[in-house]
Amino acid sequence: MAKKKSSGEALLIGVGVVIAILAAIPKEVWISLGVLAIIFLVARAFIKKAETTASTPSARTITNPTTPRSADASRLAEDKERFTTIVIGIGDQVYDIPPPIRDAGGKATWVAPGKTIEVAGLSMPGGMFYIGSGLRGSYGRVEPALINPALKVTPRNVDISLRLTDYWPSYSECTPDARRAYLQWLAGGRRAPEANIGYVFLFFYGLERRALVDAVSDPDAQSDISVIKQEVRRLLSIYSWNGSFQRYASQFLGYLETDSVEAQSYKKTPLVPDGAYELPMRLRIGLGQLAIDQQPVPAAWAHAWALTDPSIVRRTAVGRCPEMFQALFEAKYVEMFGEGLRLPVNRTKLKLTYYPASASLRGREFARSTGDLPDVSVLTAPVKKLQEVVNTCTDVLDPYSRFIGRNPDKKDSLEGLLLLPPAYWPAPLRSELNDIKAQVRDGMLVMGFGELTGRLKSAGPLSRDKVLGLARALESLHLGMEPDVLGGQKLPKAEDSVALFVADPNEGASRSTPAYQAAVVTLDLACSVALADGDASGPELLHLSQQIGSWTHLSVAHRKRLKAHLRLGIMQPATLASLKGKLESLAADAKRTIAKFLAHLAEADGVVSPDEVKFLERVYKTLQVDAKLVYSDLHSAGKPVAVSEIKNGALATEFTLNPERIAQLQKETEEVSALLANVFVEEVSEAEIVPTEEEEPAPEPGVLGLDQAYAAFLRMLVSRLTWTRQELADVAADMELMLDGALEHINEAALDNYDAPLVEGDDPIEINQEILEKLPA
Amino acid sequence: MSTIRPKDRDAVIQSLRAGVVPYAGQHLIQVGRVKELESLLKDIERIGDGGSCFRVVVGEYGAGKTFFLNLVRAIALEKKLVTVHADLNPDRRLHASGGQARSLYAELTKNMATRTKPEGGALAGVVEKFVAQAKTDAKTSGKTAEELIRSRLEQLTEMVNGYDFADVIAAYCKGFDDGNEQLKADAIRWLRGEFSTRTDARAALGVRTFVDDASVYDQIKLLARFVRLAGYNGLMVCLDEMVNLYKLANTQARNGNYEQILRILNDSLQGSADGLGFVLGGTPEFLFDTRRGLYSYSALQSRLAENTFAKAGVVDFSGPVMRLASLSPEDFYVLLQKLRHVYAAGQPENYLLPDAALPAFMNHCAMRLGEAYFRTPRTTITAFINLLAVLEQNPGVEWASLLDGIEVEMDAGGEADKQVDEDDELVSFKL
Repeated sequence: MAKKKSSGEALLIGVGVVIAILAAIPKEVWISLGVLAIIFLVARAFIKKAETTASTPSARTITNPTTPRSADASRLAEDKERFTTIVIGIGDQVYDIPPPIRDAGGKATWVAPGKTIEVAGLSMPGGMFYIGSGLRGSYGRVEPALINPALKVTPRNVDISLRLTDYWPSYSECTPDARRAYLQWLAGGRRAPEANIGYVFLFFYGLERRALVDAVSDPDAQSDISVIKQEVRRLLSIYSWNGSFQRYASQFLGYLETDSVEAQSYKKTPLVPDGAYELPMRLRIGLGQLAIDQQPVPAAWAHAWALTDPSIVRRTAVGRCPEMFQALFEAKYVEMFGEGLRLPVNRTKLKLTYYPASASLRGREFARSTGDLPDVSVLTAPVKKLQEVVNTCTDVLDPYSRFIGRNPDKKDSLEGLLLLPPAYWPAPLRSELNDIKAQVRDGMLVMGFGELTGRLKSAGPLSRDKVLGLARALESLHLGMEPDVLGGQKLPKAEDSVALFVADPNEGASRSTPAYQAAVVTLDLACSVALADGDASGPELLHLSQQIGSWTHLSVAHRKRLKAHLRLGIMQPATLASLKGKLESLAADAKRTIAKFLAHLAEADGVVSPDEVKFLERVYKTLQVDAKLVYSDLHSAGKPVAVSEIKNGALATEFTLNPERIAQLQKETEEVSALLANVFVEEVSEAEIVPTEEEEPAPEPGVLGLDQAYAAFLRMLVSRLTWTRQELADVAADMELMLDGALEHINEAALDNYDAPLVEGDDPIEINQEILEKLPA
Repeated sequence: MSTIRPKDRDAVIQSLRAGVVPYAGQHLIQVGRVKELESLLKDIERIGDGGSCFRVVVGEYGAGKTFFLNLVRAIALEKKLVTVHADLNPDRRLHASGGQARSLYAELTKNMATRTKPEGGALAGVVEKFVAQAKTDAKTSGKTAEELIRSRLEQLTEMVNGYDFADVIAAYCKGFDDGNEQLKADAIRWLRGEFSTRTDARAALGVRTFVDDASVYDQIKLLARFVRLAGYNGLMVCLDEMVNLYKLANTQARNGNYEQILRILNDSLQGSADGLGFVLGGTPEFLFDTRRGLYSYSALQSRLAENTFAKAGVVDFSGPVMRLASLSPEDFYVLLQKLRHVYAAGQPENYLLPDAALPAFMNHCAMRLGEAYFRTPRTTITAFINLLAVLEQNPGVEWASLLDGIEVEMDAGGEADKQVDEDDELVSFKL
């Protein structure tokens, strides 16, 4: 700087002298000189423009600022000697025209992870890129990821979401604007989610070079690999929306991760990356080892396979409730395959290849051998089996998943969970149910239905199928519920009461017998009769209860349920009118049959008490049947043969059964229930809610509109750039496809979509890279 | 259109330099003949709709018959037809008793091409496409693949040799299922007409017939039906160098071949061939010679007679005979422009010659050859490509200085076509 100042002073003196001399010159000369000066200024501007393509170097490492800077300084000083100094008449400006910079920035270096570098005024933390110049890739091109600080960068900020790079971005070939945007992205910690994918790729190219090329010979680069893996994973978590990047990055990771293949890797839990483009390498290796060792595939591995195999169709449910899916999948898998599937050792061998995205490594194939591991991803049989498991699981999960889809906030509510099998309910709900069960113990618990659903965290009134589901769930816990919604009775409202009782485990199916149905009807009638005089008196209830106890043709479980039914019948007499209405529509002789049946029923225990007779009289009246017939009916039911003995005032009676009469009773019962069948049809269940906004119900058509088998083959096909015919024939045989037919099919699809075939040549068979780039990931 | 695929460029330049018609990329250098192409396009569409076509493309030596045929073939491929093509020669004819017709059939099937395999050898792919389709459908319909194949091929069985054809396809399917490569290869061999005895065919595939000289046309008709079943639009058969029939010395042999042509023509024009088109290329002598050409066979003459109204500027391109006019000097100029364009891979900035050089070159050729330079452009085109090649490798050389040194030879190949073997019925002998 001092040198510059002193030379400036010397020039000032010179200018002063010149002005003094020129003062004597006339005005015209001044004007002409002015014109000349303007011409000179214009010329200078031109020269400067030409020079700016290589502006002054402004890069320096903050951590190690001395060396490059001092070198630059000394060279600048040296250049200074050869500067052209122009002196202009007006004013005292001095213009220096800088010489072109020959090799700015020096040799290219890799900035170690964690270092901070400043380029063009932007400080970029984290390192992990190449800086300098002179780094070349294949075909002699400049390494695209190389940041050459000597290149011009736009000084103002640029919108990084815009696409400023071309398809193969390269730092040295893109515009100053694009460079600025790239540096901005780097300076922002490489995490701006809106950044154009071109910049991410540009950075990714550098990582590829470091990990694939440098690491071969350089131990430093080798040690960087774990950081690079981490970085790629981080980028993948931000930029996986871009199909192309996702494909390259996950394949790159897969390639790097398989660096250390341990034996029997299947003993560990598999890692499941989300949104895999193809079956991850680690998984393939583990499965290949399983095949070689002839070990069954453990449920966790099968689960990972099912989640990542691209030929398995996974419906929304899988992604929406992953934990439940996993639990369900593993349970079903074990159920279907015992200790697991056994994989055959197939012909296609696993070959780890990676085709870098970087233009400088383009055309190079990085391959790694895995010994003789078979590539299980071409097998179709196990995939089909897994698909089956996935399908069964998603079938179970689907209603729940749809429910959550519509009501994301009701994830744990009863309504949603009712759509799941009770075995997969979450723990809190299960413990609540167990509480209720403990309360019921052996007796009966009457509570409001609203209270019940409230305890189970219902979010509002339940629809019919939800109530049914609840009843079924209770049943699976051996809890019976009255009203018997499963048997077709009216749904309880929230303010209605329900009776819970311990039910027989095998009660369920037998409830549809005519005998039971008839008993229910009778009980309803009886209730209504008992309530006919305003309220049910104690003796009446006792009598009815005893009556139920005496219906020995019904199972114990049924009688228990009937008692619960009675309890509710008395508590909620509202059914009287409707019952009467229903019965009124019956023909007179049908009513007569029912009345007769009731009389026989009353007589079933062999004892006809006056109370019973009184009761029956009222029933007959209700049924609008001549009450006098009660007696003849009671009589015609047969001689009261059984002699009852009342022991110590106990109400229990001992009796012997008459099989004939039971048979007759049963016959009549059936007649009655046939009659009643059409009367007591429950209101038609409300129309099933058809989910209109249903997510993808059909499996999406594969790439290029190919069906699944061909799409799977295509995915395999594009995983390498060249195949020998034999290799591909093996793959096709494993996939049960005909090679020529499949190639023909795929090429036709490619021609239809892109006007060029994807596969060329007979042996070796080559993949057209232009088309490959256009394929959707 | 702006960029030309390197593959197409090389195909065009290499073959033109060698004096043959390019295999691919003909569209890059097609000049004129719009009406002719239009009517052929209509034919191709008709084949796609299950119709048929029959065309005899007639043109002088060097008029571009082969080029035209190849172009038509490329268009047909693009329209999802399957094409087969072959040049006739003394060992390959439509009718013969010594295996020459089978040899023609073998050549045709060897050259079978589809859009995805334009260079030929597509037969296995076509068969596999059919079988694979049947297999896929079998999965959903619950039938076995073999049953499905049989039911689909049922309509073939009404045709001559149809049963055996279906058997062979089924054998291919079986070979795939059992992993029996030999059986698959045998099936393809049979389809390609490479079995020459019944015993062989029976031992390999269990069928009682094979493709012999007598059944070539029937077999082609079967193939036409079959490719439609396999999902293609139809079959286009291109036969070139028909003049070889004209050159046959033996009258009976010649008439036998003309009878086959008559049969094909009748089938096509009566519509009894589905999705099958024939394009034959030959010289005017082959057609018009009333002594040995097609016109010598009176049944053919009446069918192929030209529209008497189409004279003096009025044209009719719908008849079975299509006459290719020779190129005009203007056409030739455009052709040279296109060649220059293709040579520069579609990049105008890479043109090796300025516009002025083209008339100069034509002038030079005209001085040497007279008007033949554009009528039979083969040698002139070769010379032009050579000129471009020299200019490309010696960037400093001025084109004008090279022009005088260019040797353009007279293309005398046409004379050979007119040579005919004298009747061999009379043998001269000397005592």
